[in-house]
Formats: sequence, C-alpha cells, structure tokens
Amino acid sequence: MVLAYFITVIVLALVLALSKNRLVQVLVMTVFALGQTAFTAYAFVFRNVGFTDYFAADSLSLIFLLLLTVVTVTTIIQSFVYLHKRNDTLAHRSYYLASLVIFVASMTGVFLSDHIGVMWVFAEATTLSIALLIYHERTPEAIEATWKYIFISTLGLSFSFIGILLLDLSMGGSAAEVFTFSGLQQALAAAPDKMMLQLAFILIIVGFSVKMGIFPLHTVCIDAHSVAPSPVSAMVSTSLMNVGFVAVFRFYMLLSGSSLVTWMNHVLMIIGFLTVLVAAIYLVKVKNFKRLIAYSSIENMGIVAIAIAAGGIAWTAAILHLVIHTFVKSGIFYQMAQLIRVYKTKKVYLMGRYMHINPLGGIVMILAFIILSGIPPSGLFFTEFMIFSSLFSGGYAFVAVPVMLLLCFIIFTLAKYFFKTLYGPLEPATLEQAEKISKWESIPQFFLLLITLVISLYPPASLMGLISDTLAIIPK
Amino acid sequence: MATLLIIIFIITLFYAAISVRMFTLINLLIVQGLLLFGVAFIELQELNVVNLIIILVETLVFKAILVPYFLKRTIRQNNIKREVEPFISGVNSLLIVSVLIVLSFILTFSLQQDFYNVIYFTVAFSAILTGLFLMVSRKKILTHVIGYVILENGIVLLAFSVGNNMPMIVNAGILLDILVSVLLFGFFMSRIRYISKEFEISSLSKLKD
Repeated sequence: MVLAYFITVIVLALVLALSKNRLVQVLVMTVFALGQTAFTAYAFVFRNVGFTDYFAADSLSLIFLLLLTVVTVTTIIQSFVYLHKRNDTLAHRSYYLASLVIFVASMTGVFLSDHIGVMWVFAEATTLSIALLIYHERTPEAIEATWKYIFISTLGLSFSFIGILLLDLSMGGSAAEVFTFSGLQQALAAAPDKMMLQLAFILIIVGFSVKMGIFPLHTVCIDAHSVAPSPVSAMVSTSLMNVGFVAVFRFYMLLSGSSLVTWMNHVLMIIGFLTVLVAAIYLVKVKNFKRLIAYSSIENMGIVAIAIAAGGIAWTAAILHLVIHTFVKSGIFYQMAQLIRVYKTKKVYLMGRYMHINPLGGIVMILAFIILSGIPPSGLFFTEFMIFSSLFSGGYAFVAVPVMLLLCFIIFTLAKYFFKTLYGPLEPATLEQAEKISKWESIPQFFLLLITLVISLYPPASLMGLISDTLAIIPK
Repeated sequence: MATLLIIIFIITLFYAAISVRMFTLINLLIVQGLLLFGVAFIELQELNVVNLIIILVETLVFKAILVPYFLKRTIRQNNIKREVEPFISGVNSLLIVSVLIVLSFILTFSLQQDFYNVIYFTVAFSAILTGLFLMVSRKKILTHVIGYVILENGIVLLAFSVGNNMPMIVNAGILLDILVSVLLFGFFMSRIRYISKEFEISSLSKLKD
C-alpha cells in the first residue's frame, strides 16, 4: 500500500509536469488530495501494524500525518488562488504543482518511516523537492534563498547522516539492518561508548535543525519562508518544521533509555533558549511581514525544544503545541498571500487600514493573533502554561523566567505590527488601488481557526490518546 | 590493497588544498570517485550481490562520471573564470589541511573502539573536514559545490568503514541524492548569472534583517 502510494504520487507528478493543461491540473490535484486523505485513513485504520519492511504507522506518525493532510488540502486550494492571481504561465503552474505533490509525499514518507536511514532519505527528498517551490517567483531574492536553502540543508543533513553512521558504529557496526525505531531503544540503552553517542546526537540535532528551524541552522529556514509563495510558506512553517520535530523527537526517544538523558536535556534546553533569544533579538529589526511570522515560528519551535528537555507533562504540551501551531500558522500564511496582493509589498511599514480594505481577512488576523500570543481561550496558553509549570517544578526556573520575558517581548513586537497593519494609517493612493479580496478566499483560514478553537477548548479524546500512546514508550 | 587506495585518497586531499585551477579540482573528484569504487569493490564483498552491484555501479557512474561531467559543463556554459581564487593562499591551505588530518587522527583515537578500521575512519573524517574547509576558504560558489562533493565522498568512505550494512533503499537514496543535488546546484548556478557575473559567494547577501 505504501509502495502503491509512492508510485501513484510519482505518476501524478509526471502527469502534472508533462501535461501543462489547466483541466488536468485541477483533476490531478483533486485526485491527489483525495488520495492523500484516503491514505491517511488507511494508515489510521492499520496503525501499529508494520506496512512493509521500512514503514509503519505509530501514534507519533499518525498525529503529524493527520496535520499534514489537513494542511495539504487547504494549501492546494490556496495554491490555485495564488497561481490564478499571479497569472503564471501554465508551465510554471505545472512545475509548482508537481513539486508540491512530491514535497507532500516525501513528508509523508518521513512520518511513516520506521527505519532511520529511510527517514533520512525522505528528509533529504523534502529539501530537493522544495527547491522549485521556493524559486517559484523567480526574483533575485528567490534565487538566493533557494541556493542557500538547498546548500545548507543538504550540508546539514549530511551531518545528520554522519551522526546516524556513528550511532551504527557505537553498537559495533552491525545494527543497521535492524535500524528500526522500535527495535533500537534497548540496544542503545546498553551501548557502552558514551562519547560516540554524544557526538552522534549533536550531529543529528544540528542536521535536523534546518528542518525544525531551531538554533544553529535556522537562518536558511527564515530566508526560505520570506521569499517562497505564501501557500508554500504555510507548509514550510508547519509541516516541514513538524518533520524536523518528529526526527529530533524520535532520536530523543531512542536515546532516552541510555545514560545520556540529562546531558541531552541540557543540550536541547540550551538550543531552545538560544532559538527564542535569536527570534526575540531579530524581531527588533525585521521589516518584512513574512520574516516576522517566520521568526514567530522559530520562537515556537524553540519553546518546543525546551519542552522536550523539560519532560513529563511538557512532552504532552509540546505535541499539543505543535498541533495548534500548525493550524494557526498556516492560516496566517494564507492570509499573508492576501496582504501581499493588497499592498503589493512585504514591507510592514507600508501596510495599514487592512480592517477597512478587507474586514473578513482582518478578523482572521485578529483571531490568529489572539491564538498565537496565547491569550486564554487559545490552546497555546494551556500548552505554554504546562511547559512553564513543568520547568518550574523541575528546578529550571532560571530558564523559564528569561524565556517568559523574551516571550512577552516577542508578543509585544507581533502586536505592534499586527495592529499597525489592521488599523494604522495608509497613503490614500495605496488605499484606492487596493485590490478587493473575495470573501470565499478566507474560508480555509476560518476552517483552520475553527479547528484550533475546538482543539483548544475540547481536546478530542482520540488526539490525547494518540499523544499518550506516543509518550508511553519513553522510559520515565 | 584497500589501504593503498585510501592513502592515495588522502593525497588527493592535499592536492585539492593547493590546486588553483577549477578543472584540477574536478579531475580530483574523478580520481576520488574511482578510488571509492575500488575500495567498495575490495571491501564490501560480504554484502548480498544485488546491493553490492547497485553500490558499485552507482559509485562509478555517479561519482566518477556524471557529477564531474555536470560540474565541468556548468563551468563551460557559464564562462566561469577557471581560477579558484582562495581567501587563503595555497601553502597556508596545505598547512591547515594537514592540521585537519592530525585532528581527525586525534578524534579517531579518542573514539577508541574495538573496531578495526582506524585508518578508514581517519581518512573519512579528514575528507569531511577538508570539504568544509574548501567551502569556507574559497570565494567561488562552484568551489562550495566541489567542497560538498568531497565531504560526501568522506561520508561514503565512513559508511564503507562501518561495513555498509544499510539496506539497499538507503544506499540508492544517498547516491541519487548527491546526483540530484549537484544537478540542482548546477541549475541554480546558471540562474545566479542574473544576479551577478562574478559567481562569488559575496553576491548572495541580499536577504537579511
């Protein structure tokens, strides 16, 4: 079934790339959206059963596969709007859609793989397939961002691969054939060579920090966000970061039985703190709205890294945080596409009176801001509360307090720019030329915000069940 | 026999540090590809036949033929100047690469395992570090790509030293990945022409806060 899925995806991508026909594009993307949904349902029904040698759907992969599928469907809708409004040539549209299909499929591959090497291959496939998507607008900035993204990503993932080889070596170099996540935990707990494992863990974290958007290699992620088409930014900022999280968390779970746990927690704590710090510092200077939102994503991933280190209840909070963040952040990026069309710029100081120009979009922005900044009905309030209380009870108050201060600062900066855009002054000339945005284009955003609200207020029992199943593997 | 090949491999690293012409560097990549093919042929005979054949063919075709060919074509098509233009002079580069190799020795010995291939490990790490060094010490974007390929060669050597027991899908994936990324690098390199005629890394500095 997994094989059938990947073959279908490749065929669909080829059809898209070769046909260059509008009707075919709509048809193929519909088929793909339905197929992705059907495949997710299949994975849900046959969970905890190994599909083939290298693939299996455990609870962690199911949570993120579900998120990916929802965001994929809305992204396909918004991509058609985006391509239509830009009046791209049919050839450019075909390349965009074909890359999108392969991109989504490689992320699915990462979530479902049960073998470290296979997961690495699919993570690398996401890098290669996203290149054309970032490059889509074909501006000099796009070339630069694409170049940096591919180069730093492949380089970073090479480091991860060295880490994986060292992991293999630390078990005597015989374990690679059974390199499954489920099978390795005990083997690693008994691994004698601590330094080798430490080196492996550092290399793996540094490598996957490109995908997750945490400290050492987060910069290319920001560049990619700021020039990619907005629907693609929505995926980069949510699903691709989830890919990084799943990879990092799986390795964390692998090594959680060994004597390294305290050391790993410290590493993640430092990385998370530096990530939040970097986001807060750079937010002072940022004038590009998309980069602003990108830094907000980085900050959220920093909090998640700290949450992994904090442990206990914070693990549940971390996953829930990612779920809510995925929905709200993709909503904001879809809204960004409309903003850019209205003002024909990404510079935040040229924006204003959005509430007057596009009231419905303005409401999306306000709701998204409330959720993003963690004002109580928002689920992020509860998750951050759980993470900080876990930090305090774990004796990490000296981390929690500075992070809280930085968060206040970040929320202040976000609020300044959000409300300036919504209610601030605008030159009359721009106001007259502003494009009218159809009401229908905001439907996907409201849909995502509605899901966020439901999860925040009444977290579904099935979701919480999946999260607790995931965490049950970690030895306390 | 394999040891001899590996020692030639480390000599190519020294040569890469002092070479001033692009084509010399790319020819070194061909030599490294052939050496890796030889090492795989000698060392990996316990692997099952299909897996072995895939590794051998891919190493030979991708590393020794296709990747250098694409790089040379990129140079010709874009009229890139043929000199390497280092930030650091040849003699100093040679010294630094020697230091990196000594460092790899120290790292290998501090990771002391009851594991036989110390020399593989050292050479693999040296190649990885030399690749990184070539990236940070040269101005041209293309030299970065060459540095990346040298680094990947180091990783392949490391994988051989572990006995390369990764399943077939992973081996195929890795080698295909190197090919596709070099192809993409070539494609975007020809696009960088629209930003700057120099193909230097300093022309990529527009995106910042």
